[in-house]
Amino acid sequence: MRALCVRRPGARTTVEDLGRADAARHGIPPGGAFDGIALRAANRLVGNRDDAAGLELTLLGPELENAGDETILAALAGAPWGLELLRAGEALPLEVARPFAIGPGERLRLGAARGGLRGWLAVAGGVDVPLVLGSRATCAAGRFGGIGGRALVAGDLLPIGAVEGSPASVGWRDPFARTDDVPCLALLPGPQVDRFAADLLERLCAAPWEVDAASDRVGIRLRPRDGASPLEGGHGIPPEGTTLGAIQVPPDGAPIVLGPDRPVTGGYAKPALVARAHLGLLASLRPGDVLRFAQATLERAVALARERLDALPPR
Amino acid sequence: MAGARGRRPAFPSRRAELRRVGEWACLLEVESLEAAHAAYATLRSLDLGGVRDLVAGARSVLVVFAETPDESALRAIESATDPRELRVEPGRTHEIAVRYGGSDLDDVARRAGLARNEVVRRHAEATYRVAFLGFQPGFAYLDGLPAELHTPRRATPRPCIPAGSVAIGGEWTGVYPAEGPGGWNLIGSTDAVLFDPSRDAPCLFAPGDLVRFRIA
Repeated sequence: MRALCVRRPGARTTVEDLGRADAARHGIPPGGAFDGIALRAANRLVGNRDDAAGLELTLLGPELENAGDETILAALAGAPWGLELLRAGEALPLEVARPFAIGPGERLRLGAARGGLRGWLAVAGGVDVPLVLGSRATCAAGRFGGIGGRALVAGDLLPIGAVEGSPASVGWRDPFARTDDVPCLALLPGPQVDRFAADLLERLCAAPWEVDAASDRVGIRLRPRDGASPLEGGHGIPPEGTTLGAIQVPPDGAPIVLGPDRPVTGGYAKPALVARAHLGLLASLRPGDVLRFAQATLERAVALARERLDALPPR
Repeated sequence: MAGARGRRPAFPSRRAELRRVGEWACLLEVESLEAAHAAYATLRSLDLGGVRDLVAGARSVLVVFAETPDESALRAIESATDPRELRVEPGRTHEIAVRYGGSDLDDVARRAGLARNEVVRRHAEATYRVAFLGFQPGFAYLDGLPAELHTPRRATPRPCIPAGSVAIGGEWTGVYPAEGPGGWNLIGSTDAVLFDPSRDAPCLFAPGDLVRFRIA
């Protein structure tokens, strides 16, 4: 048997894969890892298929015990994180972005994110909960997927699948990882950019923004920093499909960047969206963080996304 | 002009515009809900390679690709959704039995200047069209609410509305598929299961379907 027992759940830990394709037509958010590239990297580090399910960690990670009789290989990608292996009364420090082994009865203790917000833990064989509508991702809004459609709680048992591939021989270095600098996210024009003042994108990029406490996987809410004024011209539109990283501007002028658990349709105008290469930076934002935006062309954004894909460990 | 022999163009003079949305999606904008449904049905019936999601909106269809699409994929969408060629396919019709009498029925009646019975009669007499889904899994926005029943969303949403609640929000009516928070005005309830992820068709309603409410 291969299984991990949740001894401590952490602040918010969910089972995620690359999300539900073709589910938006049922009103189901795509869900999946906030930063799919980081989950793919973690999966490759342990020899999994890219779409194997792992755990998304938020701020404070869980403590997991190998409750089976086989050694389980695991790897963590995303934010820098304090993690250690509890073995025979000893606490051995582990590295992020490198595979490590958890023997039967041993515990993986994931402490707090050291900067950033989210991490993705892959285990060789993947978290083997049942597929629901083509995915193992947790759908909190529909209360299905993952473990009971909710975040993990102490005592949950995570079934782990059979090992398929061999671990990567190299680690992962994310070319767009958070640094000590204020994160700067590349912006593309959104579908309603023409319905705002011509300088709207410039204004979005001119001032720093602060992440509001009411931010989660549905959306990251931003407020102007240091008394700067909110954006003007926010308005409603005939509701239309939403994309990951799209920036809604409601009439109050405080932008909301849409996350993986966003409603599939939305009725606020979207003048901009975050470039795909910087979704990892977006996922790393915690309440109180300051960020900036910079305009990019579509060609530049595609090139950046390609650069991040190419940096993944080989399969 | 008219399309091939035997085909009846539904939207002879209407415009459609396709715009890129970031690296991996495009949005087809049309001029009516009916055109959006026709374009959505057409795109669903095509085998467009590499499409991850198709999302019907009130005046649009969002096409999300798994990777950055090339020009030929965008041209295929444009040519398939020429508004001169789009036709409205009839959707399924659903009849939903409703126990009218939710906690906001009096408010809706007062705003409309109608008796409770009259609100119920008019709500149950109309035929609605599923415009699009959103808000929560299986939640369908139903178009066709008689104008006198339009009621603004409540100033403060309720933290917990029971599953199966029939409600009015602005110009829309709908049924809450699951228990959860919501700001619409509650006027009744139904036992119909709108959403069940274990069903082959998890969602009872699809864009373009017709819905009638019956007094239980």
